[in-house]
Parts: sequence; C-alpha cells; structure tokens
Amino acid sequence: MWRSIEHYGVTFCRFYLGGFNLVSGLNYFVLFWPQPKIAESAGNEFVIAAMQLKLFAFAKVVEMLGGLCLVTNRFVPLGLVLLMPVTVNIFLVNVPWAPFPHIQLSVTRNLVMHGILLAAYANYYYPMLKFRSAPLPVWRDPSRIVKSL
Amino acid sequence: MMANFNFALDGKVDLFSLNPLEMTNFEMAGTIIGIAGVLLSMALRRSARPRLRPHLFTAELADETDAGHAQ
Repeated sequence: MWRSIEHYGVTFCRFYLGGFNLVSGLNYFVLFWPQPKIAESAGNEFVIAAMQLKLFAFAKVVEMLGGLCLVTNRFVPLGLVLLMPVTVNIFLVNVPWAPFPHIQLSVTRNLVMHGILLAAYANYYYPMLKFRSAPLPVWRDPSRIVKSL
Repeated sequence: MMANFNFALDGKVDLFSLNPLEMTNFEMAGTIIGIAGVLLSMALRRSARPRLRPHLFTAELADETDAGHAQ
C-alpha cells in the first residue's frame, strides 16, 4: 500500500509541476489567461528588470521545455534540473516580499514538490556527488550520448 | 490583511486565502493535469498487468506422450 501511495504521490507531483510550468510558459506567448499581476514588493524591480532584458521570455521557454519533459515522462531528471532555477528564483522573489499569503504558499508548494521529485529521481544525480573526478570529455566518445538515451 | 481560509465559486481568487480549493488559473491547470496523470497512470498499470504475468505452461504442452502420438 505504501508503495502505491509513493508511486502515485510522485506521479501527481510530476504531472502537477510539469503542468503548472508548461501552462505558465505557454500563457506568456499565447495569453489564453490574463497574466498574473505583479504585486508592489521588493521583488517587483527584479521581475521588471528581467522582462526588460528579455530574460523573462528565456525563462518561460525553459519553463515550457521542463514542463513538457515532466508531463510526457521523457528526460525527467534533465527537466527537473532545467526547472530548478525557475522554482528557486520564484520562491526567493516571492516568499520574503510578496504581500499575498496565497502566492507565498503556492511557490512554497512548488518548491516542496520539486524537492520531492529530485529525491524520487535521486538515482540519476548520484554520479554528480563524486568527491574526486577526472574529466571525461564528450569528444572522446560522442556515441555515449546516443547510448544513454 | 491577515491570511484566511476563504473559498468562493465566483472565479475570483482571494490572494489572502490559504484554502487549497482557492486556486489561480495555473494552479487549477496543474491540479487537473496532476489528477488526470494519476488516473492515466492507474489505467496504464491495469492494462499492462496481463502482459507482465509470468507464462503458464499448460498440460498439453508439457506432456511428452502427446508428442509421441503426433509422430
């Protein structure tokens, strides 16, 4: 029973986070819902600066790609890594500064779900924890990219 | 304003509400996709069960005398 709860809990987190990010990214370009209003807060200037530097558009493309990876269950560990800067930035900009408790709870929930997914797919990140490592350049054996698919 | 647990079916989100049923559009999309994904995962698991069962050898296939009669 616990295995089922674990399996479906992780599945829900994956689809929720993937769907949230995919829809958020699509909405920036297609605008099927009104864009969320940015509240008057200290994080506001960072968001406005990111929009003026076109960083926001880049972040939305990354959100769409990462969300698509999670929803389609393809390249999920890569998708989680792509979405990590988005999730962490949104958390850091909103939680200390946003005046709305609902927004603070929402971004915290996203960060917690992201953490759960990273833990669930931890097996794929263990090689990154190697204490001492020698370079293994991709140009020595490019076919490894195809073999790992 | 203090946080509350307000919930209303008027389509307008109270951004001070901590009620999980009070959702923005993106949260609603995530929840619907999440629930749909879990249901899809359950259905796919159920449909894959017959394929994953171990092969059962029937009496006719294992009986050597039948092979002798066939010759």
